[in-house]
Amino acid sequence: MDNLKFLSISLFCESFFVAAIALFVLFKNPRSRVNIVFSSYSFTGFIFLFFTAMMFLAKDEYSIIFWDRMVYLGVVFMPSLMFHLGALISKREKEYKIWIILGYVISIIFFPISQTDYFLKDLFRYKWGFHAVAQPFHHIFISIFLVFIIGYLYIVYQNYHNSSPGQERNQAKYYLIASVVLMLTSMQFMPAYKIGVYPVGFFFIVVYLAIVGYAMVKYRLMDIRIAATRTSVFIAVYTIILGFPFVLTASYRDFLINRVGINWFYIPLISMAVLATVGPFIYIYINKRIEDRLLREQRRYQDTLKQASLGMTRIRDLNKLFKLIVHILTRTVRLNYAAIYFYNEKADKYMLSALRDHELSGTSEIASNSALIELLDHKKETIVYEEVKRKNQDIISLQLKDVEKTMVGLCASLVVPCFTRDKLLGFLVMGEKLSKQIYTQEDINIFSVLSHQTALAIENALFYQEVKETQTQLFQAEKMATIGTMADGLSHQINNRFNAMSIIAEDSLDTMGMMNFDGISEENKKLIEEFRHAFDRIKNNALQGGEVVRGLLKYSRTGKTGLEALTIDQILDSTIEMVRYKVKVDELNFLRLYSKELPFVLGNLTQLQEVFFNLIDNANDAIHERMEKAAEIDYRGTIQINAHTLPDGFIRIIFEDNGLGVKKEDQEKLFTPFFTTKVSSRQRQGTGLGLYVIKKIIGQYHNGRIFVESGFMKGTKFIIELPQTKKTEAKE
Amino acid sequence: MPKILIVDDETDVCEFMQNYFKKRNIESAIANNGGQAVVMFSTFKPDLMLLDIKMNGLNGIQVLEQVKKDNPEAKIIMLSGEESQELVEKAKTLGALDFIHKPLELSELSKVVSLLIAKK
Repeated sequence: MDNLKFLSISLFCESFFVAAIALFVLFKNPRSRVNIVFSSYSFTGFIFLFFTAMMFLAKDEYSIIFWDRMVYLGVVFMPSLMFHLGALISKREKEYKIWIILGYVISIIFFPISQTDYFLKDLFRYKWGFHAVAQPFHHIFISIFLVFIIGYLYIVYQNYHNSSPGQERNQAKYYLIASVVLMLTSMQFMPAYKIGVYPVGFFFIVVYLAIVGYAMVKYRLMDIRIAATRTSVFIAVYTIILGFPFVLTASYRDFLINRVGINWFYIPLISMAVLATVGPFIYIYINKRIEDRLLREQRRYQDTLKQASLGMTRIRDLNKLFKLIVHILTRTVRLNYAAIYFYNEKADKYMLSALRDHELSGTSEIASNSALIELLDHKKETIVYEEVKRKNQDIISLQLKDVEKTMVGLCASLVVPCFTRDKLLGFLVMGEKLSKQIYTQEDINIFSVLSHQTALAIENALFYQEVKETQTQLFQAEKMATIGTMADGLSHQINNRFNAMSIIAEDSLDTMGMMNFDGISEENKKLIEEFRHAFDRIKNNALQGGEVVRGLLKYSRTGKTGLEALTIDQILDSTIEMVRYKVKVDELNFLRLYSKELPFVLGNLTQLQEVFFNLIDNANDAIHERMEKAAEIDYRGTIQINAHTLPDGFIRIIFEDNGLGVKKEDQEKLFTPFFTTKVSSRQRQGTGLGLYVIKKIIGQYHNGRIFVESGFMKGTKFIIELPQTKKTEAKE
Repeated sequence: MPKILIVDDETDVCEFMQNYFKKRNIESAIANNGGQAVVMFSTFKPDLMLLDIKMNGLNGIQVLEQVKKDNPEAKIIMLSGEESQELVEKAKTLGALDFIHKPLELSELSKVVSLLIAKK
C-alpha cells in the first residue's frame, strides 16, 4: 500500500499542476472562448486527478467507491469539453454546433447517473491498485465517449491538414501530437473492466494539457521537431542518469554488499554524482547533434549571415549597403521578399531604400508616427506577423490592428528594427521563407544581430559620408580662399585692363560719332556701322567683365571681425547709403514695416551691410526684369522689409519684393557659388557669388539661417534669422 | 578752357580719356604717378582732378590728402576698381567730391565732370 501512497502524492502534484495551467490560461485571456473551454477541460482533469488520488488513499471499500464516483463527476464532462475545444481550435464551432450541444446534454444526463449503482459497483482489486467495476451505463458512456474521441481526433487532424504553412501549421501539429498522447489516458478505464494495468494513464492528460496550453498561450512556438527532440532527449538522458543508481541499488544490492562490504552504497552514490555532472553535457551534446541535423539548412544561412554582418561595416556607400543586405537575406535565407526602410529626416518618414524579389509593389514609405513605428520604438525588438495576427484574434487593440494592416501592406512576415542608441534608424522587412517554414527564435536572434550590425554599418557609412562631405567642403573652401587671395591681386590688374578697354572703345565710338560721313558710299557707311557695333560690344563686354571682377573682389575682401549689437535701422540706413549708387530707391515703393521696438541683432555691421546690399540689389534687379519682361502698365516695384522676434531668441528679417521671382527648378541652386539667373542685360549681370557669400555670412559668421520662398511672376521672399541680443552683451 | 588733371598709371587710359575730353573742349594734362600728380596740381592748376587710387609710389588717397592740405578748394573725383566701402568713406571724409568705380563709362564720367566744371 506504500506504493499507492506514493502514487497518490504524485497525483496530487499533477492535479495542482493542471489546476495551475487552467487558471493561467484563463487569466491570460478571460474573454476568449477557447481559453474558457480549455480551462474547463483542465478543471475536469483536475477533478479526475484529485479524486483518483483521494481514492488511492481511501481505506475501505465504501469510500473507495465514493471517491471513484467523484472522479466520474469530472470524467462525464470530458467528451463534450474535449470535442468543443477541438471545434474551437480548428475554428469550426458553428459547423459542429449540434454535436457540441449534444455532447453537453449527454454529459449532464450522465452527471447524476455516474453516482448510481448502474454506473459503478463493487470493487476490483489487482496488483497495483483497485477500481470500481463498470456497470451497463458505464458501457454506454464509454461507447459515446469513443464516438466523441474519434470525432475530436478527426477535427484536430482536419485542422492540421487545412492549416497554412508556417506558425499556424506548427500550432496545429502541437494540437495533433498532444491529442494522440491524450489517447493513452484511456488506459485508465481498463481496471473498470477488470484489466489490471499500472495506473499511469493520468500522466498523459497532464502532458496533453501542458502541450495544448503552451501552444495556445505562447505566440512564438518552438519548431515542434525541436521541441519533441529536446523533450525526448531530456527524458532519455535523465532516465538513465537518475535510473541507473536506483537500478543499481535495487537489483544489485546484495552483489555489491558481497563485493564491497559495508560501504557498498558509495558505488551508487558516486555513480549518481558522476552521472549528474556528466548528464547536462551529454544532453547538450546529443541535442546539438540532432538539431544540427534537423536544422542543417538554418544553421547554414545563420553562419552566412553572421559572417556577412561582420563584413558589412566595411561598406561605406549607404545604398550599396542596403542592396547588399537585402541581397544576402533573400539569397541565403531564401525569402520571397526582403526590403529595407530607412529614416529620412527631411520627410520625417521611413522610406523604402532597397528591396529584392518582389513582384507586388510594397509600401514605399511609412510615416514616423504610424502604429508599427511606435510599436518598434516601444518594444525595440522584432515583430512577427503571425504573432500580431494571433494577438489580434485574442485581444482588441486598435494599435495592433493598425500594425497588422501595415505589415500586410509591407508583405512582412518579420519586421526587424535597427537601432543606434535609442534612435530607430530603419527596419528590415522580411517576407516568407520560400520553404514556408516558420521563423524560429534562433532565426530571430540572428536577425537581431544582423540588424544590430546593420545599424553600426549605417552609422559608419553615414559618418563616412559626412566626412567626405566635410572634406569636399573643406576643399571647396580652400579653393575659394585661393581664389580669394588670387582675386585680390589679380582682379585689380584685370579690372584695369577692362577699364582701359572700355575707355578706348567708348572714346573710339565717340570719335566715330563726331565724324562727318557725308559723301561716303553706302557700302562704307555700312562698314562704319559695323565698326560702331563692334566697338559698342567691346565696351559692353569690358564693362561686364569689370562687374564680374568686382564681384570677386567683394567676395575676397575680409571686413572688420567681431559681432556687436545692431538695430535693423542702423544696418538698413547705412546700406541704403551704399545702394543709392546703384539702385534708384526713390523709384520704388520701399517699405519698412517692422516695429522700432525690436531687440538688437547680434551681428557684424560690414557683413550685414553686404547682405542687405545684395538682397536689395537683387530685389531691384528682379523688379526691373519683371518690368522688362512683362511690361505691365500699372506695375510698380515694391520692396518691403519686415521683422519680428522668434520664440527661440532669434529675429526674423524678411525681404520681400514683387519682382520676377525665381523658377522652382532654380530655387535650390540659388545659394550655390557661380549660379546666376541674371544674364539678360548688362546692367544686371550677376557673378553668381552674391547669395553664396550671404549664406556664408549668415550661417557661418552669425549662426543664423536663411531661406528663400519664391513664385515666378509673383516675387521673392528672403527670410533671414539672426540671433538677438541686449546691448550690453555685445562682444568684440 | 576748363582744365582737368588725369591721374592714372595706365597710359592707355590717360591717352584716351584725354582724347575724349579734348573733343569736348576740355584741356587736360596727365600724371602717371602720385608724386607727379601732386607737382602737376600746383603747376597746371586744374579745375578738376580725376584721381586713380591704386598706383605705385604715392597712392590716390595720399595724393588726395596732400592736395587737399594745400588747396582745400580743390575739386577731386576718385576713380577706383576698389570696392571697399571703407575706402569710399575715407575718400569722402578727405574731401573727394565723388567716387566712381572702374570700369567706368566715359559718358557718365563726362556728365559728372561737366557738371562740376560748370559750377566754377
